[in-house]
Amino acid sequence: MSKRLEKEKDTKISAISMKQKDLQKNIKLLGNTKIELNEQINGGSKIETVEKSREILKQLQDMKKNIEMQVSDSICLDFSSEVVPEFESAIFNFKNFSSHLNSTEFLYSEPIHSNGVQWRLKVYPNGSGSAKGSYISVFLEMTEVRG
Amino acid sequence: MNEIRTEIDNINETIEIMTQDAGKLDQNLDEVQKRKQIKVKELQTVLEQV
Repeated sequence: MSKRLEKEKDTKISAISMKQKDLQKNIKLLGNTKIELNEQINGGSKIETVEKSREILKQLQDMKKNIEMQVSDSICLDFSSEVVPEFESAIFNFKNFSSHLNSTEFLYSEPIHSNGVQWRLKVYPNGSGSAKGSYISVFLEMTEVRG
Repeated sequence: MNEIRTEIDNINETIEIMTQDAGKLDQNLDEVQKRKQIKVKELQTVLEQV
């Protein structure tokens, strides 16, 4: 199990390292672009700069779009727990539920499987024990465990 | 010309943000190591109890 954690750690570190490399590459690219733009403004003729400005701005916009896409991806730092299973949920639908409201019968839900364990709901629409006639009673039953 | 100057300012700002992000990623590397150690300890404690 600790091998799985080690593998998960390696995957996360590799993803972070790749992102770092991308960032460094983009920082360098932006730095170079900045130098070129400064040279264009300060060194080149004004007419030439004005003529090229539309093309330069288009190139900058394309570059920015590409960079924004890379920056927006975030890396999840959390590890999956070896002890606490991941949260799972389900929706249970009971047909003709209102027709059972005045009876003492109970209903079973469809089973749900989670981490090798099978669960189901036992529902008394008209209540069970001291809740009878006043409240709905719901019990969670563990019906099967696979080793 | 002015638009290009504005773009240069934007580039400076982006470089600053990216440099900060790079710093955060360094912290993330440490954080991943730390969180993995916590999970390993958590696992060891449970195994000792079993």
